[in-house]
Amino acid sequence: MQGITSEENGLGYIFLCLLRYSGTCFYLVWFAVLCIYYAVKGTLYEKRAFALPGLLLLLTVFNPFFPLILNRFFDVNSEYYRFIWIAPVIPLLAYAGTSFVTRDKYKGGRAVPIFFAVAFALMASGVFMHAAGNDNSKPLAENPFKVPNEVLEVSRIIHSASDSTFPKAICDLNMEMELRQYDSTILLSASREQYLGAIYGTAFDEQTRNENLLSDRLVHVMVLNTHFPKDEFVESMEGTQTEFFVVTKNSPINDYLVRDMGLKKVGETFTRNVLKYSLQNDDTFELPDYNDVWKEQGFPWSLLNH
Amino acid sequence: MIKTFLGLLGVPVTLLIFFALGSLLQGSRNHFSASKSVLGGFFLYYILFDLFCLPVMLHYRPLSLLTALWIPSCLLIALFALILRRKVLIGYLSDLKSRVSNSWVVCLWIFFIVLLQIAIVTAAYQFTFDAAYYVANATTSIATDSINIYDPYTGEWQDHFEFRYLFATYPINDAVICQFTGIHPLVWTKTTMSSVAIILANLVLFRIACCLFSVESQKNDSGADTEAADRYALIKSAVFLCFGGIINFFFITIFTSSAFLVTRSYEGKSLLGNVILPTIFLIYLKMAKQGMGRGHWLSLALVSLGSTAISNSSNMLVPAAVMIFCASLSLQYRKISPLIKGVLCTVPCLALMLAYVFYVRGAFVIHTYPG
Repeated sequence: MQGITSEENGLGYIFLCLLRYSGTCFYLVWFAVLCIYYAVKGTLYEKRAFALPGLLLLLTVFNPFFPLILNRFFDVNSEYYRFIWIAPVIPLLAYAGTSFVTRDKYKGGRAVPIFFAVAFALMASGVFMHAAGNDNSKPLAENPFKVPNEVLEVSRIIHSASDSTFPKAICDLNMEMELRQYDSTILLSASREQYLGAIYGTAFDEQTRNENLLSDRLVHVMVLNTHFPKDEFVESMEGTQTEFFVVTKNSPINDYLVRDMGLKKVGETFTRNVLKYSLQNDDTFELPDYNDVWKEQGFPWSLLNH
Repeated sequence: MIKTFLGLLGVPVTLLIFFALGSLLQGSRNHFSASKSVLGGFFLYYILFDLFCLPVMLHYRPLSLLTALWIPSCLLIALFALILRRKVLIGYLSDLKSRVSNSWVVCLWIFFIVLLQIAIVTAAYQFTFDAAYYVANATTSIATDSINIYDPYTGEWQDHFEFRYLFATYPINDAVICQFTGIHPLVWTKTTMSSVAIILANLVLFRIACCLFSVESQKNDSGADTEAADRYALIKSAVFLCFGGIINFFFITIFTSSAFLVTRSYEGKSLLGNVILPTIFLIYLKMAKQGMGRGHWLSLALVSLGSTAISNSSNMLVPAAVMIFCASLSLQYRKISPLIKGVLCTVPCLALMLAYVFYVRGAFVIHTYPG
């Protein structure tokens, strides 16, 4: 789980995991209570269906020792929460709710208010997907592509301002994550790991740092507002063949890029400026040609060669 | 609007193909079920797709070749299945017609529950980091006419295949369909496959409800007729789906399977948490009720094999889930054989997990070029 590790937290790791997993939702608590209920009062099948797997989950996935042992063999710190998916939380809660609503004494019209009461109790135990405060979730998408209209607009501006079939850009993190979903003919100068590394100060090994030196500078400009001398900036732009900076309008690097580094504004959207750098040595990106590789392949692949 | 319509049109076509393939896995008319057929067909579809995709990818051939091979083959297999099983299907459809007409209100209610979930999810905008991989992989594959050779995040050429995604060819299937139909990957993933994922998740929940509230348990002491008992079980299933849907929309943190279903439905991990793992639980429920027949073990093996093509995380989670539920069966039936059979069923997942461990430790690399 991001930010918590079994090495640091020991036996407390699973409890922190469960707390973070549940957030402000109570469904796991209901799950535990209902497992105990069916273990004590359930029919034989209900005990087999829910209580027995619940007990085994307690001995494994929910066991404080389990993640410590597992982590010795596989690094599961960031993904341990997925083991909690094995617990049949939704089937158990839905089964309990349905059994309650459809009891014999609630037959007929009396079941309806009971149904709504259980439904309300379930809603009150959780947080709706479009709860207020979640900026990354909106009830209505702006277009059929389900990305902001700005993504489409940035793509159009970049292609209209570039002669290259595969222009390269560097953007703010949100645009970086969405631009290539819509238009993968626009290349990006830096990977997600480089962005997150800059934001969280993650240390990479020396080889990676050396390989990414040029693009890391651009990430630092974008994310950390670092002002490099012009020769280093130009070296990075030329070395990575980056043509465009897509910058939010309120970002402090706008002045640095336009006034100091000489980039030209070629377009703007509602919240972003698209700035162009004129590459001095235009090393056009081309897709590698695999034809020679295919020609060397034997039967039956050779049948497909032209 | 047209794009959204085309995307939504893909939903019944996809489900029909799953249904056709799944019909090959089922027995006689009396035991035939549309929901079982769709679920079984879903796993079979991705197993078959993997068989086509891997040789094309590992021989560095273009995506267009895979499309040219897969689309006609898939359609032919589906057509063959429908023709082969036509008598069973015709009989089943006539039975279904009478069952639906007897319980049309409940069926309409179930349809509405699922439709509402699809409407809420597909209308929404969700920003997630991992979409930058899944969707961009499909978009990149189409733009470069290649398979897993370019980094979806940046577009840079990669000198080796990322082993984590080598066998999980689920996003490549999206690329193939989009290349064939001309539908944009964003529309296909966030409208069509989101809808398919929600339908499949609800189908599994429905099957679980059918198992838990089976007809036999509804007959009262005076021996009520089967039709009324059947209708009552269907009502319970509808209530079950309703409550399941509520929990899915309200159990929201960034870690829960429900959050994955409603915000990242098109991702392989979402199908793992909401279709694959619940299907394993469903198989367990059936074994706990009906005994450990060969059919159930074969179903489990199918699910395990199919899960490797959908998400790399399956290689870890599916064996864990299978072992926990097989341990339950061992305790119930006081036999060691369920554990042994569970291990055998998950051999594909275990093999890939082991291979991934060796890959991460640098034991081997599969390059994107020969030599």
